[in-house]
Amino acid sequence: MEVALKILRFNPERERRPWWGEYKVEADPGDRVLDLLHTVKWHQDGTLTLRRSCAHGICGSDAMLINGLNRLACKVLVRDLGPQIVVEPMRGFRVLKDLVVDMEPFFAKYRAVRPYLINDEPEPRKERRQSPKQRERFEDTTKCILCAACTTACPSFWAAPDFIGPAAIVQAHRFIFDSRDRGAAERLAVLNQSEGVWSCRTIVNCTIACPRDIAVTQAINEVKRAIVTSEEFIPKWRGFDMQRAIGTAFLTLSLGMLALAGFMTFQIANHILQGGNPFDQIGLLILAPSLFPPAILAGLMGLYEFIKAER
Amino acid sequence: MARGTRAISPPGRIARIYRGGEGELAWALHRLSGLGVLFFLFLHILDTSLVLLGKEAYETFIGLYRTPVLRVLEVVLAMAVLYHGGNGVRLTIYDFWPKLLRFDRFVFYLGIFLYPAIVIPMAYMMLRPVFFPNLPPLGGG
Repeated sequence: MEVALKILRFNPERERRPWWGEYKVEADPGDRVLDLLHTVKWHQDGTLTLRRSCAHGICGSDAMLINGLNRLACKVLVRDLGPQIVVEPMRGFRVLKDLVVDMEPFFAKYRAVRPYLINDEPEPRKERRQSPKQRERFEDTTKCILCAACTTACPSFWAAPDFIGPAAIVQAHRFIFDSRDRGAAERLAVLNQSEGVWSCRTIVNCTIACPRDIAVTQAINEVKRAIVTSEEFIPKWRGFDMQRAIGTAFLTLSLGMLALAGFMTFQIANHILQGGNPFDQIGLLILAPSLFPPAILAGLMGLYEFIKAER
Repeated sequence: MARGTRAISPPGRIARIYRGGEGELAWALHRLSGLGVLFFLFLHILDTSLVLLGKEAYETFIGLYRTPVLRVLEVVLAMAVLYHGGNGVRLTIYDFWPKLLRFDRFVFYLGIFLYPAIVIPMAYMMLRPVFFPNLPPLGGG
């Protein structure tokens, strides 16, 4: 079949603006987009510039915007795209030439989360042991190949290039949830900034873009949770105890609801004593009893928080 | 060298929207509804502060809200608030329960299903007195 291939070309050294290069390429439905780009470069226009290394979905060099979606050119087949294919460089990075973008800011953010094992405990005699369950905890995020498809699919990243991006968070996740690692606090401190995980708006473009099928947004939300639930990041002011504060809040809520329910009961009783029909006050009759269970529940939760704090 | 090609004018910007998933649409609508509600908030501060200029000015402006066009826009406002709130609850649930993101599309379409189930009766109740003023009010009261 003949494929009409449109490629967004740009040579910033010679040209002022990007332009569309249009190519007609003979292709097999089983060919990959990378094969088409090779055909163009090798047989039609040698000035076309692109990155690719392994060409088999492992190195992550050839992520690009194909038909409006970030994918690896070496993993997407012509038959899944049809006879018209549009290829653009990834968005949010400076274009160096054609499909090659400046990845340095991306790797700077990758380095910022310290993507290596941090553990200053004395070395064990043989190895740091880990149960299959502990390994499973971060299995998903070990699959990342740093292709930047997720980061450049993210509207938050396009709008704010300082956003650390999904890829760096995925890399942080891989170590934060590793039972052998002790650097979680450092990494969470980096990610607990407005340019860290909090720029994520849960748009889920990253998960869709990932060529390795990593649940990227889920990983980001797990890191968000780790930040708000970790000891270091729960505010500890002078004499302030989070657990007792939560307990007190629950007990106050419980007492308030009990008081309200008690007042309503009193109103109904008063009405009956004065010879009225209790069903005149149907609203109170429904509200008062239905307030008691949540009041008791909140009271028990408050007490539970206090008991937990005492231990 | 055979180029076999021609350079065409620079690509338009609008034609190059990233084809993200449902989440991107939900996010765009979230922004849009948020801005709409914010705009109304400014308007609301303005109309309330007109009371400083006296009863007449205030009531003239408030009277505008009773015109059919603004009654319909009121429904749009309620729809925007409902969408913004509902989508916000969806995202907050993801924050506390990240595993649910595996069923992101299902949750989105569940919302798409639930939204009209709330909005249509709401719109009916709000617009009934505008378009059918002769009907008795809802609830028999």
